[in-house]
Amino acid sequence: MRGKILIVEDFADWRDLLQGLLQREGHEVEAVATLQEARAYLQETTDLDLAILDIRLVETEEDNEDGMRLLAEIDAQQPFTRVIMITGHGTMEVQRRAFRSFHAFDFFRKEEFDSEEFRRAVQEAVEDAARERQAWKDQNYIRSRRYELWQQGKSPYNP
Amino acid sequence: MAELQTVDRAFLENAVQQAALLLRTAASAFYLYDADRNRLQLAASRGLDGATCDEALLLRVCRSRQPIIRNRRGEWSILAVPATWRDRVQGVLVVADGAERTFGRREAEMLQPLADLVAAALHQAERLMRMTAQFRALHDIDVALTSSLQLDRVLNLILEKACDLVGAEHGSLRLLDPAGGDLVLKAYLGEGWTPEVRAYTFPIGHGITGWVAQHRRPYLCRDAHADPQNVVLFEEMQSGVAVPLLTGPEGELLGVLLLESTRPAAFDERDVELLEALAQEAVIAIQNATQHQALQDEHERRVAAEKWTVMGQAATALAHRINNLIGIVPASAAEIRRSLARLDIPDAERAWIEANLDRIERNGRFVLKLADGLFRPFQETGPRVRFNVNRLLNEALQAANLPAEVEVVREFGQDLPPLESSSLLVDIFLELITNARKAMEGREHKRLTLRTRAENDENGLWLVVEIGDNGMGIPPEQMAHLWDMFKQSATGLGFGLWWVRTFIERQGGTIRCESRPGEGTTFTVRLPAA
Repeated sequence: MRGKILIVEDFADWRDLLQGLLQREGHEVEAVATLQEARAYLQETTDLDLAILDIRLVETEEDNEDGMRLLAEIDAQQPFTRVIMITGHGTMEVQRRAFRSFHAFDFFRKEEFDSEEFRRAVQEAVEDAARERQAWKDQNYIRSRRYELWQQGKSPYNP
Repeated sequence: MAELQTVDRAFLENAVQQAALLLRTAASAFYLYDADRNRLQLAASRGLDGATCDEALLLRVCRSRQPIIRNRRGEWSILAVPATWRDRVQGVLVVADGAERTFGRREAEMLQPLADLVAAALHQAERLMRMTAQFRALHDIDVALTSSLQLDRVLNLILEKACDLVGAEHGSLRLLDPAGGDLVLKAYLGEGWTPEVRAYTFPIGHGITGWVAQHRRPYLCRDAHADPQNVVLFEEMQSGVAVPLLTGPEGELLGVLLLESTRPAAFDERDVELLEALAQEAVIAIQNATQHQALQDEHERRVAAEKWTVMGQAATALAHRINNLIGIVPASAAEIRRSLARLDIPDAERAWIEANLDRIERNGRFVLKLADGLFRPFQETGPRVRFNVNRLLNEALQAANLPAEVEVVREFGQDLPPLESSSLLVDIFLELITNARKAMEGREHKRLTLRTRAENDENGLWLVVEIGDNGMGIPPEQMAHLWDMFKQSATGLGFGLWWVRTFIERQGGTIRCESRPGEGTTFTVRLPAA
């Protein structure tokens, strides 16, 4: 399944590598470097399946966690978008927070980056997002159909 | 005897004049008596015109302590009375007159109070002088004690000066261990301090030292072997004196100073007084030094903590950089390999490309592992957690998954205080246990010993963990490089003990290694209790 993916990564080489890798899988990929660009993109995109976020988006700022902030924003505002976190130096603590507080889908470390594993995770995330979006649409359809049926007096609750 | 130069001449001359006026005599004089040498010295005279008294007669006065009257025809008449203070003859007061004068008992009785008054005054002068001398001695001690802020040095100085002050051959200074309640030996002087004797600690109330600690009063022991309070540590000591070191308005006990001598009854109340004065100076010096030590320790801890923070920040920043830069190498290599699989090229060419990719990937991964090892002890490991050290060791033991042939001996202390540390601590113990297992390879009987206990010292409460094996031991030449960063090892990168030590020091602890080649190795970890 092809998905719509956003990559947010300040490191150009990683950004290009990940974008190239995912485009070759057939996904529609947008890649940006900063928190601001990412927010601007998210503002006008409603059907994003997956965001791939680097935790530190300003290399020189030691306690920069813009990626985490983005994760939290997406978690709160975009229910059908999955998020995969990547980091250059991730501690267990950060990893746990990403999963427990903000429902990250997966977590990758650059020092032991396995691209096959990454491809699989992306695939799963995209499918998961699509499945949930479809389920929501189906449910909405059923709800609206139920109303129509009720209007027509054909509801099982209204014999 | 009162020294001539220390006696107030004007006072003596006045007394001599008073004697002459009292009995209306032509001449009068006062002689100082040196009992040790049985000699007399003229201190003041009036109307003698160079004539001297019969010395034998005056010495007789001193020995008999009775007035002597000599009325002889054709000679001067003489009345000599002893100047006595508390049974001690200080000198002789003499009056003389022409031959026509006859001295009697009445004159002797009139002169005696004046003589005794002079003796009393001389005694006071002598006392004042001795006190001045002692005051000077104490002042010198005070100066010496405040010259150093190093506690060990101060304690030894106190003992040394105390021995000098009262002429003791043997001495010890014990301080109260507030936690244990025992008196712990801190300084000692003299012969015969064997390790066994040094290790002896006095509980409060036991021995002279213990008595002094309990009653917070000095103790004078005139006969060491007959004294029921005494605990004889040194056979040849015949007498002793001990004073408490007290502090604050409540007179809180800090320690006890004990001085001993091979002479019987070598000390008296005066020595007690002196030592009490010394003890006051000593307490101030000890408190200063202790405070200084505490400040210095605190400073060192702060510097260390700062050092670790700075190193930690640098390490984290560098690790992040390296992971970003080098992490992409294996990832990109993997992408090339993937594309390569779909290309149709000659086998030899494909092999060459793959061999090059292998090299790129292998070296990239090695750099990443190296960086990981290097930065591991500095990692931000999250909040500090409270542990029960025994449970933590059991966890490490479980993780180590030792083969059944290894006998594990656990000697765990009970009711140990909790430990506050990064959660990585379990990895430290795991590493040490794994090292022990490796060291025991090839041994018929493998025994791993784990011990825990709490320990108290001036820096607070510590938890001590010992991990011992009965392996081959570490040869001395390897011992020197035990903690080196890139110590050669068959497996791994050689970061093992370096990172263990760095981590432990970062937690404010220490690690020590003792090894006997052929018998085994024990690592002792000390960590501050929470």
